[in-house]
Amino acid sequence: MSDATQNSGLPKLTIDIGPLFEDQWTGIPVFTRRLVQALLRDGSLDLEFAFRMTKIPRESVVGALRCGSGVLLRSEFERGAGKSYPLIDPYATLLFPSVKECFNATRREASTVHDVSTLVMAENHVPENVDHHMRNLARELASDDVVFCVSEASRAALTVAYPSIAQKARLLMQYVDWPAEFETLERNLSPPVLGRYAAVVGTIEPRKNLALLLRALALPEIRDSDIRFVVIGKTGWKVEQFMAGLTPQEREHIVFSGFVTEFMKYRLLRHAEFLVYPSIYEGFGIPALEAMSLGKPVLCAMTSSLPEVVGDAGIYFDPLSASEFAAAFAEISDAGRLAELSSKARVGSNAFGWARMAKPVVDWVKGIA
Amino acid sequence: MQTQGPTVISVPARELANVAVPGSVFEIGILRGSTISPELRVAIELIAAIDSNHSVSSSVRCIARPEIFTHGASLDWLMTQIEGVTDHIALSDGTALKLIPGLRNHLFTYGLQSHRRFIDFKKLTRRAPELLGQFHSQINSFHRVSIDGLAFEPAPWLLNRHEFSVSEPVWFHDLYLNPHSLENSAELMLGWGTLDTPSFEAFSKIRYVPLTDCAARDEQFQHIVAELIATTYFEPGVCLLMRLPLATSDLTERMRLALGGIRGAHRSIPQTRANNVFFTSGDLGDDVLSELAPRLSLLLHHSFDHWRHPKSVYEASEEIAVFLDRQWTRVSDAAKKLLTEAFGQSPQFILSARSLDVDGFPE
Repeated sequence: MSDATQNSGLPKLTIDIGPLFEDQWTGIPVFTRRLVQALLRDGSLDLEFAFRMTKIPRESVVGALRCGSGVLLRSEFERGAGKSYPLIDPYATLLFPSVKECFNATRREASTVHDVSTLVMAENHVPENVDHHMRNLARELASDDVVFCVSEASRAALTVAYPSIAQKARLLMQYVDWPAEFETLERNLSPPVLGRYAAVVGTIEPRKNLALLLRALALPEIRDSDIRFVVIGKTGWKVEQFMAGLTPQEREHIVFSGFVTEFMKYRLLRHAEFLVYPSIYEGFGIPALEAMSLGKPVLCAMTSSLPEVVGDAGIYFDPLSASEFAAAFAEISDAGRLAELSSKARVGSNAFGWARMAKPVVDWVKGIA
Repeated sequence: MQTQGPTVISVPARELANVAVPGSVFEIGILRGSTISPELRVAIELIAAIDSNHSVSSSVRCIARPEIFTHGASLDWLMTQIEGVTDHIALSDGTALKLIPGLRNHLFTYGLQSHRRFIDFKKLTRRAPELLGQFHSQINSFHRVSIDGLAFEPAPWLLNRHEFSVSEPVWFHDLYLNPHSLENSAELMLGWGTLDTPSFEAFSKIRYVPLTDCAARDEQFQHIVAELIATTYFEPGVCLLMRLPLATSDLTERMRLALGGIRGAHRSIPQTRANNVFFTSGDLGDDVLSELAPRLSLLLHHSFDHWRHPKSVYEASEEIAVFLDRQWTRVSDAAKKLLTEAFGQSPQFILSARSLDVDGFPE
């Protein structure tokens, strides 16, 4: 019996859970959580967890998954528990849900590429972030047995830049998993007093293209509508000028919620008319899928991964054209059209599930091409 | 090497910050009428001026962000917008290299006289070398990358100006370098006032070094410049002209940048006002260069956009030396061919003694 199967009889996989050490789980930490939960549910692999090349006890990880935060996980590690943790097996099959912190640490490795925006639109990032993502990317990819990409768009963009890895680039697409209690909790609360609104979800940063909404506010389709925009997400980077420059009139039309809990996001999406996704570039676009899972169609930029996620549950516009955006806004605001798209939204979101996420990883570990 | 058919261009995103872009695809005229960098303006005029003999017409269209149209529906949408287009010229300032799948992609780098942009470009080609390898050709440059030990160099082609006139007056400042205080040096030079045009008749030889921000920060190049300055002080029949880097509009800052580079070479330079070594505030126009040409010797840093001047100026010059980044142990045949075509004569090549350190690894 090989080393990989000697204990449980199942093939072993070690997952680097570095992203779960974050306090607030959004973006990649949420992706990591979903991946771990999908693989636990699948049950065909013997999972181990690691951080900085040391094994993390399974119960600590499961505890963090229950809490939905990495606070305890990290404090436990930093308080010194990590000193007694064993090293990972150098023969392990090791999966990184994001960029690698090290490479060639084990015999067989895979990393996950979420997007290549630091390569293709570096101007939207601070230089330190670009360096962090790009400094070792070529060597990381070279050391990978398989490179997982979170969408066809990310795979296409990555393999344009690194055509030599095309043969080993596979898809690893996530899914939406609202906690079951959200629906019950929501039923017992009054709707938020916001009037009619469209939700915009994501950290506020240049790539999210909120400037398009401002430009479009001058157009009659938007100006004369009673639908406001509610922007859900924390303020990120390189947007200080944008935020400071908003006029009182613009703030009437665009409301900023700041960072909200998962439940608040659920609530705000649930009561929105539809989701607006003006982003100029996305690796996947999980907010679109989250909205669709609640039956909300998407007013969606024609860019990168969004058409493959949203499919026919959205109305598309050129992300640099305010007039196209306004026309698409008018179309989706029509009650009949909205109802038609809403039914497609739920169907579309059902195509993404935990089994779909687990399969490519299981196939890789088992050596299935 | 030229484009095959209808062509689109793309420009760096930062250039679009002050452009009212109506959509992802727009006419080049919108760029012309907007605030963009002077370097980009020259580059797009060169592209737009390619006449029908060379496929690119003056109604060239521009794609604002080609990188967002990655595949599938978004790429199909883009292709519908630019139906019939066969070629894409990616104008790059070093921060990104943009390819459009399905088109013949050509690279036109500009603005690498900025040290920061040059470093960005070096990082990019080091971090994703296969990107450069996929361009069908490159305009006015001879960038090369190594992939698995093999050199890749998109075929260079020349697209240079036919004339270059200077719209703003150029001032000349006598050089003075106090190695202990760049501020004092610049202050004195400015205090002495400007010369309209020095009397060049007295000089049998004129050396011209158009400094760039990148050149001023290139220690190896500055060794050569400092040596030239020191030598010229003792050659009354020779004149040395150094164009100040165009990095900023602040003349004092530009002087400090240039002097800082020279000082960094640690070469002893007489600490007195030079009568035959001058900084120029801007580019010398073709009229001045042509007049000086028979006695003119040029030293060009690799970051200088050689295509700013027409062939006629270079052709008439006595000699031309080009200082190259030590990316390679030898100059490629394609680079020699491109520059010989640009200059109308074979330049002398000087390879930097040291390679640039990128991400902790020298090339």
